[in-house]
Amino acid sequence: MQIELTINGKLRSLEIRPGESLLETLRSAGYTGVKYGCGTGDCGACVILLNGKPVNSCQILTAAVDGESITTIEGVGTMDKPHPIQEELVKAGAVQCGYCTPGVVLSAYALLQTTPHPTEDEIKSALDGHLCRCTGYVKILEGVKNAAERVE
Amino acid sequence: MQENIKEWFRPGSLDEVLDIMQSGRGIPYAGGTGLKGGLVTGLIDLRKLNLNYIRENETGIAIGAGTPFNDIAHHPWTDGRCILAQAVGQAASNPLRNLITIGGSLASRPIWSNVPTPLLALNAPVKVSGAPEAEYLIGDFLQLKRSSKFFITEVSIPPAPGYGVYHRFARTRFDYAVLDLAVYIELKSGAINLCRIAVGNAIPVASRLQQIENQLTGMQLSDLNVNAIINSTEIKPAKNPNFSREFLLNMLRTELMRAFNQIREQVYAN
Repeated sequence: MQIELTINGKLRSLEIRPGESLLETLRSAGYTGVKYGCGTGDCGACVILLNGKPVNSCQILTAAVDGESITTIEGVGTMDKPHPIQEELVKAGAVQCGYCTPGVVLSAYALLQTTPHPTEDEIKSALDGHLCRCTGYVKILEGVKNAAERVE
Repeated sequence: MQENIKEWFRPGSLDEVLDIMQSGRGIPYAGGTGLKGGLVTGLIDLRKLNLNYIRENETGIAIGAGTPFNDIAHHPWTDGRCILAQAVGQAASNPLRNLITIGGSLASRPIWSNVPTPLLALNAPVKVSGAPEAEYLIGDFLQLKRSSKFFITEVSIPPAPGYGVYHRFARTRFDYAVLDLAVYIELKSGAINLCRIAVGNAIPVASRLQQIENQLTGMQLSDLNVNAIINSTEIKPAKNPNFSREFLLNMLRTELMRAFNQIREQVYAN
């Protein structure tokens, strides 16, 4: 079946199967910053923004979001021009294997869009759907806090 | 990949939704987090029905069945109805709460759903379309079989000028609740005029503890010996592979006492 998605601001027409997950669609369309982790909505590696809100793309069937707007990590920052959240996570030592990082960045990005000066509890709540097995969470919180001071 | 899904329907009316459901061609896609692998071949996209809303009407606040948990959790509730926001705000995780809808959660009643317990304490009506079109109080709705004969359209939350508390006990933040508890009371001259106590997860089907409610009604909040009343009431916890019935019973008693202590603090703070 044919659907249309606005991915990182660009309208894309995609051929999908009815039972295909958004995670599968995005990765096969080249957005490999979206990571496959658990496949059950537990780990947060596949988080993308759907109309600006973080969601687990492994738990969404693509056909259900026909016509909607998607933001992946590729739409937030690049290697040459990283987003301040990405820079602050690196500076804080919050990135080791990096597998959870795209999802974390997108959840933090969505939080700072609606709450530019979040409390620590608000950051924890926004990131409660992400598992990190490398650095732990202290450095991630520190990176997001520092980014909040830079992002307006 | 859900290999079993072969077809999508995009109806523009409730009648079309019911027709698809009742003919067995598909089930509503109401968040998508609880699809039963292998059993379903058709899905119904509900977006054209515009069931994502929270609005005030003459009987309270109406929540459309397609409203995600996070929208409910972030709504500015001003009275005892905030227990619903507390409950759904603690379910699953932030990205999942942007997907899970109140209608989908009530239809499939997954183990991790925190919805039935606060709705029982708030005595909320659930509107369904289908055969027949009806409005059920949540307690009656939970007794209905999960059937394809109806479709949930709205949950109505009546005004709750009293005091409410919601507690959820799980081993970790993200784990399924071992027990959840919602208490709502209204006072008149310091005495309990209305009392609703609802328990979920620790008992087989979320329900109200009406025997305890009846004993507490009429008593002065300051004189309340909740412990004695709970101890004199028979409660049969559900089987749980990880926790003994004695543990669950003690946990329920403890959480109930904590809830009443918290209500006292709320009352004395006003």
